[in-house]
Amino acid sequence: MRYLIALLVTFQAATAHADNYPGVCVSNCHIPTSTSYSGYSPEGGPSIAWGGMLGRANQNIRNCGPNFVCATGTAIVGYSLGIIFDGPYYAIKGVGYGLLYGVKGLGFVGKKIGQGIAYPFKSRPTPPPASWEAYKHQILKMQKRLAKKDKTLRPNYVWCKGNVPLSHGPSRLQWESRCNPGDAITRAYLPETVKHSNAGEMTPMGLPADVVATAAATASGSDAASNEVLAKTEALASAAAPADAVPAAAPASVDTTAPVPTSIPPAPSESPSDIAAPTSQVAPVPDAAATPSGTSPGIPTALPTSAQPVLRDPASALKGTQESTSDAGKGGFDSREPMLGAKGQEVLKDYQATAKQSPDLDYETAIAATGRTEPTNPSFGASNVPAAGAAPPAASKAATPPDISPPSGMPPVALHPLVASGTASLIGNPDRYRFSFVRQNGATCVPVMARQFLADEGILKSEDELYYKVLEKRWWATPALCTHDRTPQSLCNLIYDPTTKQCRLTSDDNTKSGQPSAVICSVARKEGATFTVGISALLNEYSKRTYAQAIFSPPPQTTRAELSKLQTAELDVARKELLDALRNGRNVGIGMLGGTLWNSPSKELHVVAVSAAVELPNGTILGYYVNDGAGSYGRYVPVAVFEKAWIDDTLFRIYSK
Amino acid sequence: MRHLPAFLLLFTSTAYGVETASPLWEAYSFVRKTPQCQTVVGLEMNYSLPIPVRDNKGVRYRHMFYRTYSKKSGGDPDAQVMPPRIFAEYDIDFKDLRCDVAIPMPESEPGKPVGAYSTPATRGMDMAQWEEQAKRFVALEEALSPDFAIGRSGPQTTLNAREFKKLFRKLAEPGLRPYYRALSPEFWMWLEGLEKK
Repeated sequence: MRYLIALLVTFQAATAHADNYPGVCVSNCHIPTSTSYSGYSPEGGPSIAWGGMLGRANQNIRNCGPNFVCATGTAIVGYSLGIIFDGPYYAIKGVGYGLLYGVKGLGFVGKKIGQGIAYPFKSRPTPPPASWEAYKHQILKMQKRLAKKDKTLRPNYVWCKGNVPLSHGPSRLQWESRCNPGDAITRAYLPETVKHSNAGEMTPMGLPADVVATAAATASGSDAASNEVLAKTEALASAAAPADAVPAAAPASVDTTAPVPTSIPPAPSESPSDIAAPTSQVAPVPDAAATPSGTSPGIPTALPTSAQPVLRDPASALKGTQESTSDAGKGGFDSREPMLGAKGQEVLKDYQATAKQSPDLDYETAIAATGRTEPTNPSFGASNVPAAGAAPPAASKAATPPDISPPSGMPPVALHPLVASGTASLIGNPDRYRFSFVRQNGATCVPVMARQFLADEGILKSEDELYYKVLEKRWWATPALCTHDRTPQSLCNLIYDPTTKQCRLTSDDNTKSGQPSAVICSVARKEGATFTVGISALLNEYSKRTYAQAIFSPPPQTTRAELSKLQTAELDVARKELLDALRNGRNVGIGMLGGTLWNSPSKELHVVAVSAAVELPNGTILGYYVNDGAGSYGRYVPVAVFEKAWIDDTLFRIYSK
Repeated sequence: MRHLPAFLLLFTSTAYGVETASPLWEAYSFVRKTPQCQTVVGLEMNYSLPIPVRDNKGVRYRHMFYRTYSKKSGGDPDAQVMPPRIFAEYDIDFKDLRCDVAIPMPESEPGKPVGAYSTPATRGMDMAQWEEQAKRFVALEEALSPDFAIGRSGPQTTLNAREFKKLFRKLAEPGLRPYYRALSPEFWMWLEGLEKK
């Protein structure tokens, strides 16, 4: 009992003075010059420091200096007391650490064991392909996986496998659009397209000019016809193209079996023979029965049944590349018009039949008479080609195209009956952007339009790529990221870092910056939209052509009454500009009020690509063909609706120069 | 017979009290096209119906710019509305127009839709039908504005207010109802006061 009391007193004193001893000194420290091991400090209290007694013994021994007796005695007493008082301290501490690290270790080992067990069942991220070979294989693998999941997707897989294009062959864009829709497999890490020494340029569809020339010269045997067609078309396209514009013949050079309208009047920059030559020689579709059987002048009907499928990319086109013939795919063309789909075929047949019976019938009425609900574009809701990762498309639905974007390589636009009958003519080519049109994902009408214009000169850019460029250049309105109580210190400005692919917010005065995050980019895409000013800037960023845009922009102090007059006057100017640009084979885009264009209660401003106009011999314009990223491809819009939607917007227009 | 006076009053209000096309409609349609707004509002942004506010300058109008979110095509009636973040304020003659007005709004989570875009009535409408109704709504609003400016009420005002509210329920985006209220709380309180009188 006596010892217990002494121990308690000692402990109390030790906690009270712990700071003043070596090993546990926190502040106001001093080294005691003399010690007493009776349990009381020179100041009168017990001087015990838990965990510090051995340290103190060492210090006391050093203090003894050369005095052996002092040192020995101090060592005996000091170390004994040190072991007595420090032992429990270190024992408890040791157990504590042991438990802590033991648990940590067990956790780590457990986690690793868990990961090991889960490894075979876990999908590992595939690194993005860095070569064309890897890219192709990843796409085919993805298609195979999708086909395995859903049997209805198998035809698409078979098509993709059988029609693999060359890395810079003319059908690459079409193949990618169908087999890798939405860029599910990123091509961001693919090396730049090889440029060839001859002329140093690619043909409009991306084929090297020298390869095209060789193809034309060496075409022979069973490949001769196809090589000739391809080479001739490419060569003609190159030759006929004005320096700053790609002719409308480009699409025809890609899909040589699709029902290419033969009666499209050429744009002024193209000679009629240039256009007619390739299209009249092609269409080697074996299964004529499955092709549109109507007799619309716009659709070839007499198809040589003996013709064999041809390679999409001729062997001669391999020159200068490291790809083998097998890479080009031996499947040739899908003789059953896969791009149009079974329903699309039916729609087209119905239209052709109706148009044949009543040539004077209005186009939309003719289609409506067939009972089809998507009269202006047989392709939408009709394609049987499912997009990757999506369910097979449902049947067509009025004014509501399917959720998925149909693959590019849209079926040719069915011509206006008056054009088909030769009464009216086309300015431009409705199928000019046939292989680059995609449906937009979000408020990306500008990137989708830009994608078409850029593909027209052989520059392939995905919708996402263009969106992030808009974001990077700060042409994207991001009001969503700010609150009403905006101050110069509010984090309101969005900065996109292309290297990390993340966005962060900064304040107006640049004194504050938020954490970078991909979520911010995602929110910006959902709530923001492209500024009008960014449209030509985006195109000029990539294009070799120069784009200019104009918009109805009254002076700030214009009164409401003056605005109407000014706008009406500007419409006349804008209309003339638009037609001139189409006549000169330029890329043309305009802004329209979405609600007027879609005939639904919406006041969204929207941008579409205009591919052609229908003109009567007396110069009257009947309507325009537009590619609407939020709607449909090659939609014919009567002039009244077109101009109302245009003037309801800001009369925005953009042209390549 | 006892409904005849009310009927006549309603007829009079429709025929003579309010014109179907109004200067406010023109102003409302033009706001988006002004240079002030073009630099703030991105493409593909929708805009709401106008709502009046009053201050020492008199009656002015506000509307919101917002995005709709849909996985389908443009003009999808099933679209959802994203929270509005840009607000325009203007007078009918455009003497004072701003597109970057800061207005306290209900809390909303960035990137999350706040509700439906279409009402059951607008779901089946085409653009012409919608415009016709919206023009009527705006004309009623313009007719109500002088009374709202001075806090006046009367039988004609009450009838106009009743029709205005009916059209509002028919046309206004359901997801934006709280935001419409936040645009001009005073106006809505005044309208509710008219009902009680």
